[in-house]
Amino acid sequence: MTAAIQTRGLTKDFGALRAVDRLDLEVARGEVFGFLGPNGAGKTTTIRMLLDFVRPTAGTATVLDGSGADPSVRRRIGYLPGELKLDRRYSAAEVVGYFGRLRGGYDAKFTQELLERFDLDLARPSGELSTGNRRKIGIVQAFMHRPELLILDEPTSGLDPLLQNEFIALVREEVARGATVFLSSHLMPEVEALAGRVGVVRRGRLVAVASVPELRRRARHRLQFLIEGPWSPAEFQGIPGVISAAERDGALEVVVEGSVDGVLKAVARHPVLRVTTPGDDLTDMFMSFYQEGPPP
Amino acid sequence: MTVFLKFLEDRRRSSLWWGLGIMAAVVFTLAFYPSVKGQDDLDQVLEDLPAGVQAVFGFEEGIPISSAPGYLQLRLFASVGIILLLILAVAAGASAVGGSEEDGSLELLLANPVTRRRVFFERYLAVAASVAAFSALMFAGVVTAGPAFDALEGVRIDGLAVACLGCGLIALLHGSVAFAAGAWTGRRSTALAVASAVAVAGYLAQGVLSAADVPEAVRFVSPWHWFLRDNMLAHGPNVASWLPALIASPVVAVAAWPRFRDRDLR
Repeated sequence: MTAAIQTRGLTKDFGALRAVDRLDLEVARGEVFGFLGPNGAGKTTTIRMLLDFVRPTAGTATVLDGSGADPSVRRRIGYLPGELKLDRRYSAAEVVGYFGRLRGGYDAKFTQELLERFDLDLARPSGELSTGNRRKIGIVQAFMHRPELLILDEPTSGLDPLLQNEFIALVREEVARGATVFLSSHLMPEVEALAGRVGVVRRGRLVAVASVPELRRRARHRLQFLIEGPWSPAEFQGIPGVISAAERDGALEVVVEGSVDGVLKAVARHPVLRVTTPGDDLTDMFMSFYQEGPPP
Repeated sequence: MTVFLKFLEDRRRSSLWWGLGIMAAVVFTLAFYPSVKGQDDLDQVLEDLPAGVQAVFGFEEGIPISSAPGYLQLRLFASVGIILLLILAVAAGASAVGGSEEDGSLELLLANPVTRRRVFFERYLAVAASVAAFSALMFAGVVTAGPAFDALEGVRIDGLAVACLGCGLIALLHGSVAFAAGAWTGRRSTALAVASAVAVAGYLAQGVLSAADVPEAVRFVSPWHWFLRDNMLAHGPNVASWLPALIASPVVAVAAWPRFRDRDLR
């Protein structure tokens, strides 16, 4: 038994645009692999190649020792698309019934539990449901046949925090059972919560593969402090880990790589009115990975 | 046959309305027959029309419109009936692959253990079955409601059955064009546009070529001519009215298969 997912030189061009560029991925059985990168980095295109929706320009993708085009392989995959497009006429019960028949059976008891757990309205057509409720149908259909491999594209987007927790618990349970998870996301917290190893992707290239602790250590944070009284950016430049410190709209803005300890202790000497951590841009966050330079 | 059955099940609501619509069209058409019956002036009007116009009306020398075969041919098989079946077939054909790819539901379906081949062929069969069912319904409607309006006088029932079959197959041919264009491009709008263009071009060609006194073989370029050249209600079944369409429909649909098999989904 080899890797759950293996790609070799996987490349996809859309006209002049190279969406995925010579991607070499290896996801071991039983692990949760985070596929992290900004929007437009080629994550969804990679997934669509794994499932044979689009065909590689070059390279190969092996999924569960076969091809994503093979029905016997697809039977063992659960797929939750980033942009879930259900037939608007289908209710949750209809999706479960139809996909269950296509998959030659599913775990009925487990599915019933899932439907209750996510509190789904079984009879309502999906077109009449809220985005969150539609996503729940997506989750149920991805998990209902207890697949060996779960391919999850931005899984918690559109879920409220309570449901996000429920979803994370569900993924952990399935992993404990032995499932492999390929989790694509542009959100660091989503990946942190679940993944063991993370591949960082940018502009179609895999720029690094690292463990979550290493990622945390090397990720950059952007912090803003509103400080009362006089201060100068120069006080903070030169603190270990600080990449830049500057004044922005009257507040101090610091970009830190790794530990924020030094900065916090330095700021604590002043009366601090407010601390904000603006939504981190992944490109920003993983500068240190990108700067290693692309592999040849 | 899960994909086949599900496609039909998904269309159950619209099918109900189509069924009612077709029945209403049949009954209204039949109900007008008593007021046309025996009106010789109407025949005079049609006989004075140019040959091209006569051809698109399905009018044939020697079969008066004031007779049941002439009236039904003109009002049902050359107009309302065929147009309803054609729209139905084109709508079903366009949504089968192109439409569901465009709305994104095809991709989720294909994440299941089904091949593209299976979706393509089962959905095509479902389109064909659906058109066949509505043609049969049209036949049943005419046969049951006809006698109440004396609208079956002089109508050969075998000819009527084959006329319904031929009507359905011309519709299916255009549905197949829509199906193929949808599977080729992944767009419903393109599928509808191509099928409509083919239908209109064939309809016009039939009129123009009938008037132009061209050889029979040339007139056969229009599918409408296959079906409308002979009044089967008066003359009985005619192989040319259904066999070419029966062969051409799957050929047209399957022509898009290699492209659908090999291309990227949108």
